[in-house]
Amino acid sequence: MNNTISLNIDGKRVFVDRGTTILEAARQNDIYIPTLCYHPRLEPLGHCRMCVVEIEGMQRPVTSCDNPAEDGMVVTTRNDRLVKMREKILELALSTHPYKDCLTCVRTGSCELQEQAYYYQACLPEQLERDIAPGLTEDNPHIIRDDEKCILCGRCIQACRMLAGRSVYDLVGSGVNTRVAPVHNNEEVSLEEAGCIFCGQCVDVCPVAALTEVGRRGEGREWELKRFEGICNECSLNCHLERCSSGENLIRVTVPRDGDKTAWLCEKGHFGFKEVMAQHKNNKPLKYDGHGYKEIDYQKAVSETGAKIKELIDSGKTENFAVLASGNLSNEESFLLQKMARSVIGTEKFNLGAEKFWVKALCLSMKVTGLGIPGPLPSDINEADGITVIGSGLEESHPVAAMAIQKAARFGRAAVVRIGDCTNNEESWEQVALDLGGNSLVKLFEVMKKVIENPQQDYKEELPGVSIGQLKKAIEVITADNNITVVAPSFFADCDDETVAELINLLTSGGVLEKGRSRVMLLSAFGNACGVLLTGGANWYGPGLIKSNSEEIYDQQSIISEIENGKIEVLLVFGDGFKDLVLPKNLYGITVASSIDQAPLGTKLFFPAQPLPYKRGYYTNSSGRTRVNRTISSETKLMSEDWRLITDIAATIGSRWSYKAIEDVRLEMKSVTPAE
Amino acid sequence: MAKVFFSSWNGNVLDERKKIYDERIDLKQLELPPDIEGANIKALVGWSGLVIVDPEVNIVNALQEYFNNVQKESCGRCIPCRVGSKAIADRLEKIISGHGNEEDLDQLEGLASLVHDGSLCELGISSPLPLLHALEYFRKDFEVFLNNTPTEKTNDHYRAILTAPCRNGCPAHINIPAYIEAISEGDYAQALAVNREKTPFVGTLGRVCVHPCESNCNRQPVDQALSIRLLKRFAADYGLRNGYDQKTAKNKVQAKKEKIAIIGAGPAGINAAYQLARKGYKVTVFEALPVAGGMLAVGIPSYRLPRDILNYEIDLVRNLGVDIQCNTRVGEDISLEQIREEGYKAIFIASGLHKSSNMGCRGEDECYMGFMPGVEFLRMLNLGEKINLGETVSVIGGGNVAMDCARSAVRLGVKEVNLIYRRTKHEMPANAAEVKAAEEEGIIFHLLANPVCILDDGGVVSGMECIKMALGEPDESGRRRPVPLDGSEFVLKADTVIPAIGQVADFNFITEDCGLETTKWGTLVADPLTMATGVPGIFAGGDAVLGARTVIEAIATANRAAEAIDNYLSSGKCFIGENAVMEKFIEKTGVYKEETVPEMVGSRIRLEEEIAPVEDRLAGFDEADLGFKYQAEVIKEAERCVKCLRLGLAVL
Repeated sequence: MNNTISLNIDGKRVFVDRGTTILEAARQNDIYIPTLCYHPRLEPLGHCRMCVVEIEGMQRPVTSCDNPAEDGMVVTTRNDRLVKMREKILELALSTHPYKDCLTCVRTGSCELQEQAYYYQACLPEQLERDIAPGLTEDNPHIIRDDEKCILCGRCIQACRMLAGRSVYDLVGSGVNTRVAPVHNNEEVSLEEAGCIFCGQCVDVCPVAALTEVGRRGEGREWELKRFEGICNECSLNCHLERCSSGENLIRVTVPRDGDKTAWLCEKGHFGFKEVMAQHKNNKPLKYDGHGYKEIDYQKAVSETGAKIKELIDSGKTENFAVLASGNLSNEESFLLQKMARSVIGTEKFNLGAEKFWVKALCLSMKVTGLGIPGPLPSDINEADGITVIGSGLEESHPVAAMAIQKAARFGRAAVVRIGDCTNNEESWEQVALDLGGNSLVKLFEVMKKVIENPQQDYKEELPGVSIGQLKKAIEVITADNNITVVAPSFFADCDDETVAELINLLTSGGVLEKGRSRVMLLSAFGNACGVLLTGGANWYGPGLIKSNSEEIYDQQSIISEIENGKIEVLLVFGDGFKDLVLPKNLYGITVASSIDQAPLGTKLFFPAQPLPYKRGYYTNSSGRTRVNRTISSETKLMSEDWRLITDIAATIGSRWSYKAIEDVRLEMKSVTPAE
Repeated sequence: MAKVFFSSWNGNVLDERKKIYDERIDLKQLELPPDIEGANIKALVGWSGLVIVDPEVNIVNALQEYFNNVQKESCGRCIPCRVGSKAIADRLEKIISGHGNEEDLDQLEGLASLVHDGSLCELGISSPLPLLHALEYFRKDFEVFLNNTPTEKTNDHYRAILTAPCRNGCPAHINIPAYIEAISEGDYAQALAVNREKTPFVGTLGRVCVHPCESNCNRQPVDQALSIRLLKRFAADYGLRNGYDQKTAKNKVQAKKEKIAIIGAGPAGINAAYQLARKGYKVTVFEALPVAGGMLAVGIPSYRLPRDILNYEIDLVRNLGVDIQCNTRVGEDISLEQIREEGYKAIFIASGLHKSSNMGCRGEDECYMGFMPGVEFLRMLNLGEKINLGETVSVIGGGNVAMDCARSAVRLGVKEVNLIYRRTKHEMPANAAEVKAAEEEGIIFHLLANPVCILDDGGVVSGMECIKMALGEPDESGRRRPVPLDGSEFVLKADTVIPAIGQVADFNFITEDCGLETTKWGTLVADPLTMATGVPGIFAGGDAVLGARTVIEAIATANRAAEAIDNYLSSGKCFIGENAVMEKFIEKTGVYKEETVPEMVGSRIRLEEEIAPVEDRLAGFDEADLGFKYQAEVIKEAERCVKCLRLGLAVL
């Protein structure tokens, strides 16, 4: 059967792939058919009926969004009957929509209903009497619901199920009194009680102002907002996002409008920016003068930092200097910082944000797949027939991964195997909670590998307490051609060399890792762990994964131990992850963080860090994909950049670097880091 | 004699207004019943048009009531039906109140056309038709209201019913479109809940139901019926794997003081217990066999219905507080009288048909060893008793029970299983899928053959003499009568002969003086609506009343009986609710008509279930049919549903 079919739309012969809907066929050929409930990221709903077309040989018009085009079909998208229908449908929709609010509505100018009403110059009908309570529902800090404006397109219900894998919304009532509401156990409840994780997908897809974000109202017209592509760095997935700004103010964050069909964001990515911006309270460097913190001039602060470090270098005590970063450094910053530590100061005592065993796992996996082979993305989880999860706590550490798994398990094809964590959070057709039964993870991996290589053998004695049926099922899932394995950060937190090695062996024998292909997501607790690693910030390797010659290997814990033992005299800290650290009195700590509250106790000198929305930089996610974060600030008003701070400090110590612009840093990085 | 004044039903316009009364067509010719529980029908406003019997009926009021009901049933997803039907209802109200004008009538026509052309499902598509017909043929009735003071209130009564061909075809009228829609939107919990309204046996029916719904599916002329049974099974199995029943909040129901006795823990008995317990009654079920489930437990083999699925669903009923007493045979361990004396205020007899019918063949009453009636064979098998069938077995019959016997025999290791049936394969009442599976499993079919005599060797069965048949004229069931061909006798060797041609009841607990009547076929007499017998307080249902029928029909009788019992105990009067009455009423008119199948774009292939390979099936009694597996595909199958919801309104 031919994969290309041809049909006639409005007299024009078009060619499309078999399976394309009539609407898609029209859009691919620049033929306009109006829609209200259609959304490119969702399955067609067929609710609004605006997209009706006439098909030759059929008496009634049909919706073009949810009917496949057929070979030889003759379609009319516009004639008197269809236009009249659409006008009437709009009129009916407007008679149940408080259009008098248009003047001050958040969506005015960007509302899909308003757009259609304008296009058809719809007549404005009287409002039909409905039993819908006016007013907004504001029962949570992120999402505002307005029942009166809802046109019941159904996008939010489907988005919650098919994009987030949850099932928060349902239809309640009947006729014109039908409403979309959060429902749990047949009762109408608040969003949170219905299990909402505030990923905001519903708000992103709402065509009108029935679902809006808190804080959006009055903050600028939609077309006045500038949009900047960026990434989230709250976890190592580094999801794509789009930041909308009005002038220098960050107004909103959404999933990117174009690009990947299944875009994901979680609460932290979508709505977390408010908290992040609120945290950046101090915007000038501070110095501790014995009683409290006083503002200090930038140049002075830099000089003093340099002076303290130079003191150590000159007295030959470079081993009393250390650098710690919480893994949110951009690639450029990590590159510069490790260069300063290694070539200007001459020390390996730094860890810029990558766990030891995560690094080990990633490097071992690259030995199998080859360098530069990226791992899977959350959108790959969608298509998986099997998902294996090792470790626990994904809902907190990497919510988007948890969402993708939930969705694949509930609405896709995936069977889910959980190793070690037996709390089954998502529903699925097939799930296996493989309890270790008292055995170690190493032993389990070893035996699983053996069973894969030799299925006939009996391994019951080697793993007492583990159901062999469950084991076989788990192996079936792992070895499925379309399996994705997700390793949560909790695995790397409590690990050892042997376990990591056995994990990689298991994944290799199961076909999850093979030359040129990786189907495993190794998730780090640090946001830019992979970028840090590739630029040499995880001190076992230099930039480009050249093995470091040094004998000493430092992970974060060993540096912290040295701090606590009083061995460190000067410490440079980058990022917000160390506020629980208490610095001894004799230690001169310099911290770059969002505010002094986020700095370790006892910090002597503080520099305000650049908030991510304002930072230019490259970041690499735990699947090895490098993404760019653009600043929302205009060139002229760029706040002092963090990468500049590093070069300034380096300059006072005596480096002879000359980076005129960030592009110079990037050029140098390109020449040493492996191609992605 | 009800005469048709006007009808536009089913696309045929019969305008009898000009004729005198006696010349008008009988209502019967439209295949419509003339009354509902004694109240005469004045008019019908429905999905395929208008039927007017009484010329005095207020058609505008009826239409307004109709559209009020459309609003009530409108799911809210599409704009034309959701808003359009309200706009129509409002405008009709305006006209009735005397504030309407000519423009309103034009607006009505425009709205009706839009709702018809633009709606998502048949509810919106079909409901404007009676309005459009009324505007065309009875415009004067509307004009009477225009610019006039409102006329006096009408004394018409209205009864509305929402149905669909599939739902109508289901004897229990399960809300099929609702649960299919729930699955298509990924709400499996809702799909399960919709089914649970009518029965606990969702997983069971999903495996064994004969699915009359599918024979009524409007997709049949286009491609194939929706896989309604397997979607139901999916909802149940998915719910079981994810603990839905444990997660749903239990409804708080006030406990009622009366206690009710049920005889027989088969599908009818358990379903009635389920509904009555949900209403708050204390229910005790007396079951003669050692296990609960009736024919589900001792008739249907476990490769068709795994026991853990069945027992899980029976346990749901136990968890509602129902006491199932097994090994308690009414008539031996306890009598009907004693049950009454113990204070049970109502009794529901659902004892089923557990005796095999006679074939009318020589030697069947000789008690030969190796002569095993099908019902007995299956019971022994399912109760775990040892059976030795020998090397060759002959099964007689063409229904599902015969298939069960034959397919169980091969699984027990019998080398040669012969199936003898007196008509052709096409006339076999068994499910086509069962017949196909039986053929795959190596059962040898002897069609157009009938046993004449059982042959024995010293009291032990050695074979069967059979005769070939030919098909003659049709009998009352419409099937052609088989006629023996003289001289075509042949002998089949057999170690065991298993007749499975029908079942009869065992009513030894019913004494002469208890007042219960039986029909000439040996079943109990009961009112078809309320399931009440002639004795106040005693109701009956299931096979015991219907004869050997299906699980879903048994469940339907149980639901009606439960409603009637509840009404009887709270009011002293025996009746079922309006909705149930209307559902039964619509059954008679039938909803599926090939001529009125909705237009569909293109054909979509029906999802098929996974079936275990033959070698795996023959190895034992593990489940043979594996149902649907992947949610993504199940959702696609559910999306094939056209949602043929239809609303009917009877004016009385």
